[in-house]
Amino acid sequence: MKRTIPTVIAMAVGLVVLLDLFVDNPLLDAIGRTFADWAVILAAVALILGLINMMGVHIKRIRGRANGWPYSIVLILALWVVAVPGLLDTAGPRNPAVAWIFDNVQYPLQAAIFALLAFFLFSAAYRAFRVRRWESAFFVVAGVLVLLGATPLGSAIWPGFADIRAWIVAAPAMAGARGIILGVALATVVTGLRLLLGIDRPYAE
Amino acid sequence: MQVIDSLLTNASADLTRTLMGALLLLLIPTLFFFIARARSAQRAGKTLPLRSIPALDTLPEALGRAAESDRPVHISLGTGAVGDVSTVESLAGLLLLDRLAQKAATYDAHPIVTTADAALMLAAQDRLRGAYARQGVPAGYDSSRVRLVAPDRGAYAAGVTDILNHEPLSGNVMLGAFGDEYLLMGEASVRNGLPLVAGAADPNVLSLVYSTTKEPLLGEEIFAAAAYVGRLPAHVGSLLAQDWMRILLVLVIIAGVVVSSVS
Repeated sequence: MKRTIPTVIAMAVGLVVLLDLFVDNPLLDAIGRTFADWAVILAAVALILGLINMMGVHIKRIRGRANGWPYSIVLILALWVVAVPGLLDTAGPRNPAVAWIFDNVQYPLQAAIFALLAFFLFSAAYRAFRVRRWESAFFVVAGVLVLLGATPLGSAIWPGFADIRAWIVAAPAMAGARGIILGVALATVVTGLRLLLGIDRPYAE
Repeated sequence: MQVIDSLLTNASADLTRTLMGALLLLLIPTLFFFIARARSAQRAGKTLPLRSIPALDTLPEALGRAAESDRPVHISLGTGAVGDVSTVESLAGLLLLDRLAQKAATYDAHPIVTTADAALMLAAQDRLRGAYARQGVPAGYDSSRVRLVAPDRGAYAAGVTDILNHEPLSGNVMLGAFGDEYLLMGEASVRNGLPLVAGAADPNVLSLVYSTTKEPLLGEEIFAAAAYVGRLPAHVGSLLAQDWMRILLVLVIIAGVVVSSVS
């Protein structure tokens, strides 16, 4: 019973939403929209439980004096400093204090983290371009040709590099990417079907 | 094709939806056929052969290492969420977690699981709890081993990088939806010498995965992971159905190319 009820609910909801995709019916549209609204509410409830989990993990780190525990104090303080003004104000995330924190702390930090990617890309490219197997040789040749075709230096050496780059991107790279996308699409449909038909039940233990 | 399209338009049906419906109608019996085949093979004590995916052969090895060294394996379910476009990729990670958690409970090698979505975290906790209960060691389950790191992609990557840099780990498994932030975590794995099993469905991220692991899981292989680790008839059967459907699609594409070239 503990497994059957969630499975029946999940299958029924999934089938109704799927049917809504194929059939133009005002009633099904309304039901589908309602289910989508419920999903938003459930996600919000899940977020509260997620915050409790986060607090629990970091309080445990502080109590156990785990490696880097002072950072856990900073995390918990930062969490409440952002959450409290937003919770006390009906404007929520549009509260001036919360907006200031997002504009001056959150976004610059995000930009800084992603700026690091440029440096990591160098070491990743170095490893990828090391000839480990015969496929790596193709990788290196294609990479060098695309690089020459995309930079002014390459065009200055020989204008034909730009055409080679355009061909590599439009033909072999696109064909490979489409093959991967096709496989992923099929796997996505099959995984979705397994969930919809109750063969896989990640929601019911 | 234009004639069919106009006919369908007149019948107030959309070609894309009709083709999608046709694909589903074809897939459902194929799926049931191969699942039934996998079940009867299992009853006869046989296993249906699956194509080789070297990256997945290293997973039991990683858990064995974790048990021997008493250091956990980190499992990342990606920066995707349940309820958005990355749902199925996230669920692929969740299904693999289910199978790995069962083995981890047997080996007494408790994993650390991280997510960027609260709903996925709850589902992961449920799978982990269930796996320990199935193995008869419910006391081994610790809810704090499944962590919501941060809902933001950059913050999640920073949090996971910290775990990879500072917690004693024996391996890193990254399976789910990832963007460019994958590289921050993949590089941390490489720098710390952690054996890495990783895959992505997004072709743009695959080049980053390729640069951090010798045997990456390419595209749809991430959906095959649970079938390889658990060998459940439902998963094995669906993998075979998927392979046969792909062959059929390739043949249809080739036939389309030939027909359009000739005409």
